[in-house]
Amino acid sequence: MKARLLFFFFFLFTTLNALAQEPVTQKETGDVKGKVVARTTRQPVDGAKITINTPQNIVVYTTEGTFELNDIPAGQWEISIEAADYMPVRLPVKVTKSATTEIQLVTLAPDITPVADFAIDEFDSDIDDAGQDLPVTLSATQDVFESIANYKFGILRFRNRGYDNNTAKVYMNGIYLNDAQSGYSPWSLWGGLNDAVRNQENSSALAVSDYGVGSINGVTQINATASQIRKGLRMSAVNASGQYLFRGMITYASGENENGWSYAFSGSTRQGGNFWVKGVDYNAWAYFGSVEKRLNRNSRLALTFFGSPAILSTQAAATQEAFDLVNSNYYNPNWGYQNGEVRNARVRNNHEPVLLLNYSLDINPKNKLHIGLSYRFGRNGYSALNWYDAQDPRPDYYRYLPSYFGDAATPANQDMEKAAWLTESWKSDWNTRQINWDALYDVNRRSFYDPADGVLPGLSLINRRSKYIVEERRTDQQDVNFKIQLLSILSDRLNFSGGLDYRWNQTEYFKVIKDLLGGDYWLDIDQFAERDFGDSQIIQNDLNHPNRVVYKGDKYGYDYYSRLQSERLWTILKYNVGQWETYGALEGGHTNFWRDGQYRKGLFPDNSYGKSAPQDFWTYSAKIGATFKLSGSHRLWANLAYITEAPYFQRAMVSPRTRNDFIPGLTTEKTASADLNYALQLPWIKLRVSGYYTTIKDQVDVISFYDDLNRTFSNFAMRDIDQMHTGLEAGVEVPLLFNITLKGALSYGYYIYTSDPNVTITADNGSRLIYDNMENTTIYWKNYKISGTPQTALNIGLDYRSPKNLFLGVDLGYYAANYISMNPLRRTDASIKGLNEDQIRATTRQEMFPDAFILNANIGKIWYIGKYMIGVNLDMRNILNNTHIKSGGYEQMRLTRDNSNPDNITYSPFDSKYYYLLGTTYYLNVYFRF
Amino acid sequence: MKSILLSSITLLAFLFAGCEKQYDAPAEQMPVVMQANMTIKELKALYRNAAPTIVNNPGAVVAGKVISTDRYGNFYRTFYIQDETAGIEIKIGTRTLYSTYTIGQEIYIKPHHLCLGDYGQMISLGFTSTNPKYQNSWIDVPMVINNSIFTGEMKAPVAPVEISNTASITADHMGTWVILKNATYKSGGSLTTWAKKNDPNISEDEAAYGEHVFTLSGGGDITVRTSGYAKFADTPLPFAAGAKVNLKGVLTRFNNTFQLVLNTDKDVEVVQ
Repeated sequence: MKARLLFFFFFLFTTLNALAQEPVTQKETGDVKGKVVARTTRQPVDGAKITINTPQNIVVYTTEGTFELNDIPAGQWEISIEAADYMPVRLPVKVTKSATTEIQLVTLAPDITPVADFAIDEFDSDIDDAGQDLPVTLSATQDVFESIANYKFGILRFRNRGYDNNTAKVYMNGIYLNDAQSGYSPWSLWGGLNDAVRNQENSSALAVSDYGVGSINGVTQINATASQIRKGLRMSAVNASGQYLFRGMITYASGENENGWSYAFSGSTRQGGNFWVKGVDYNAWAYFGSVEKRLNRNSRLALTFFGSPAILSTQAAATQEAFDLVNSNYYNPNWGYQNGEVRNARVRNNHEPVLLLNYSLDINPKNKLHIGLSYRFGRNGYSALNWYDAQDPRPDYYRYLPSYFGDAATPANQDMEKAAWLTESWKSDWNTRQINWDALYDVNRRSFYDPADGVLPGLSLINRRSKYIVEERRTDQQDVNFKIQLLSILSDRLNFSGGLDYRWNQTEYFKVIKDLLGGDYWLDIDQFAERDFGDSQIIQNDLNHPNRVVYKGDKYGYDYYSRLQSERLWTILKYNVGQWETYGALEGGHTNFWRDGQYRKGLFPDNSYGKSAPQDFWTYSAKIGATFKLSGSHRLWANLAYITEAPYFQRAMVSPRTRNDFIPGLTTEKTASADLNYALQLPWIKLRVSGYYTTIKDQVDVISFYDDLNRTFSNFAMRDIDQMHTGLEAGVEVPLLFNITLKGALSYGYYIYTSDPNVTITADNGSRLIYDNMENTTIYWKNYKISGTPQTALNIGLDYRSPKNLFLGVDLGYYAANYISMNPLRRTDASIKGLNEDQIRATTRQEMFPDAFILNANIGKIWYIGKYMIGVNLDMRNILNNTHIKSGGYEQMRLTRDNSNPDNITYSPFDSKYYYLLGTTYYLNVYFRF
Repeated sequence: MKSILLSSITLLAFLFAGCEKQYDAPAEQMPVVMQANMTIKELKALYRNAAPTIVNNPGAVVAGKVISTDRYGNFYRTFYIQDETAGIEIKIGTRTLYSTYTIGQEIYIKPHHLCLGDYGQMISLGFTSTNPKYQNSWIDVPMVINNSIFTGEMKAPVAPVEISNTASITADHMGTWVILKNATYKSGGSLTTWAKKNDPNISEDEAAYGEHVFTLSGGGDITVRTSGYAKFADTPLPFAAGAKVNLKGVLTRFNNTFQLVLNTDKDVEVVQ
């Protein structure tokens, strides 16, 4: 029961007075009385449907906000309150014989949340490489800080407290669904199903949830079984300019009928590109279905199935030089013309359906059992160009840019005339600034099979060996989660929740040929090994099938499984006494994974095929916390946590594509965190202030990239990465005159690295260390900043809500201390060798993006026609149309080698690559509901 | 009824999903046809005063067939064409040329604004050089390449001209496809392979050129010069000193040394 209460904590402002009164006359039944008001206006809500789940399923409606349920059998029941435009609410109620239980005030949160919808869509936005994480949280929280931070700060990829995406834990129907391979929160699995996943319970930051102990960045539980989805039909149409052009969505939930059945469906599509970046495109669909049956008074069974197939053409970061050449900060090198049509080389094609089976049993009024099972499967693909012994087809390859010959070029390359010609080409020729697909086809068509290279069965002289292809890199998961959990009220003061989470995951990593671009076949060999070794055995990608000729749809290159199992046993105890609410939580876990190679790699014949050594990690977490309620309006609370987590497979291997080696000294990641919070809630002000301090130790990471300098795929395996995150959060809401509310939120953080990690750099095509003596090399990045989020974010806005359901809002955001993602190599002894002081500074300095101001506004209106509701909402972002705000960026991994003085070979960094915030965008949503 | 409608919409969403746009292959590029109005010999004759010469003839078109290939790594960023009069090196600067400029392919060149330069008495066509060490440089810039080098029809490869003694070599033989018959292998210094590749496991170990001298049947020596980046660089010579060999390659010179550059070691045939 405590579980439900926590849920209501976010939506309600309720004092539950379930104290039994002295019996007057002895009956077997009691009464329930209550009042329902709107959260924002405090006005009574009329016509709200009140249902109590007694065997008779009694239903009454509110009059002037009040209701009365009479002659209810004594016992523990659940009341559900549903009203048009409000989030449905369920609350437990204890009916005592011959007494009236008074629920003093039920406050309903508006179910309009137009801004929330907009923010939810942020999650669909492109997650590109370059560590472009998803926003960390997404929740319909009523916390004054989070309600602003979650919706407004996301515009500049703000991450709560600077944490990685994998610190936010997401459950659906009680089952933990964060990605098993990367830990990332799994929002894209239900992209486009906003209405189906709207019912959420959130705990913020360090707090525990009823579904698990969580980490340091909140827990979100999505209630997506049929009975939990808001009853009725909802339809909406969106026209927008920031992510896609159009979205259509329709959702229907039946509510529970008299036989105990409920069902829900949802379908949606998102189509088109955005107004700013050429070549990007959405072709996304989504479907959702859930049926639920109340088996008897005490138990429910629900089956839920959904998927969000999406084909997204993406954008890549580029250097400022490229942006300036085309006179736009939205240059996208990923596309080019083919036959006059725009074609993007980097397309995500994902479809990972999820099946959930949930069973819940109220053993007795004090004990509740949940059992859940989930299965995720399907495809996750990301395409890219690949080429064999041919020129780099990417238009912004550094040699194709004027700077390769310009002022800053190495002396041997400097040629201003060539630079000028290239500048002219970039400005006047699409085939220079974008991918020239037609030219790739031409090359393939001229490349004929030559038996002199080795006789290949089935091929003749007319067959063409593709030099350029489009490949698709796949990460196909099969993920099974099982959960069993018990919620118990041990006494008036003591609540227990605890359970077991089991996960089985098998993920296959492989590549397939997606398009041969006019050629007939591809030969599956390692071209880098071929260049360096030439030996016919060593060059094989799969010695078990040497010299394999592959065609469209065939696997090639690499193919391996990550196999993982993990178990977690956890328990949470909550103890409330007087003005104190306290909790303690413990979790113990075990994770076990290994690589299972499907190819025997020519370079590593004894260390690539079959299973690697299994990696075992024992983990544990402990949390404690206490809340002290000074009075109804002052609240002070604190949390403490210590968490150990197993490393993620993707970061644990030195070179997963080629061999079975794990990073040496692999260990668990350790997080310690504490926060102190204060909340004030008075009629004229709502305020929350928090301070936090977190250390994360022993992180590992592997950065894999194509190293132009060595013309081969390289792996940076880093370990002993330590971080510190500290800062202050504040949110405030002050109602002013005339239904205008002033809202503000500030996140002032300081996130740094606190260690000098070690890196080992290897090539995929050899165990040779690429840069000399780069085994266990120290990276000097102690005190450098954590990147990928503004460390300072501020938003101040005014909201107006008229009694006639007109909404207006305007807000100004300020973002600062946003740092670039670093190339570790630039902070090593080797890279600064031989440089003077200025050059060292240029190489090792971490760029901080300029401060940014962003002005946004929104306007909305809702009409009620009988039982129908129609609403329209328009959001405008970046109204000042500032197109010079860097939203993210990274240092390129390679360095220029200057050997003009053979006695002093030096390195200089490449230009960084950036993403820019889009200029003014709009989002127009028209929705209908009954 | 409503549920049927909704489930069909859901089903529809399911069905529409996963259909990725397919693109039509572009039409095959038609070979360029141009009328040559200048021979390679005439082009080379424009080079004057032992100094870089920028061609100033907007209407000039030179035609020739490709005779070299970078496929085996022995030519790099450059290719040779020849017509009935002579051959010339085109310092195009881009890499992996063989799939665009294939042996036997007709190439048309508009040399206007390009630069003729000399290196060791070999005239080549390239771009003006900013480096005083070289008279011309790589053309490199795609826009310049697109405006001055055009690919025509695939034709039969050029038949090699036999060179039997160095005394008969003229300027017009330079940069053309030749065959040396029954040449006697003299020596390659200490090297028993065509050249020396770098060892990928030792990064300091650099690749190096290999030079092997052959005596022609009619007299005179020609050096077969092979790049350390050639794919056959580490291939052992399949013959010893004194062996008689037929070799096909591009004839070049470095000042007073005649050189032969192989496309591939497969163009070497041991006679005895």
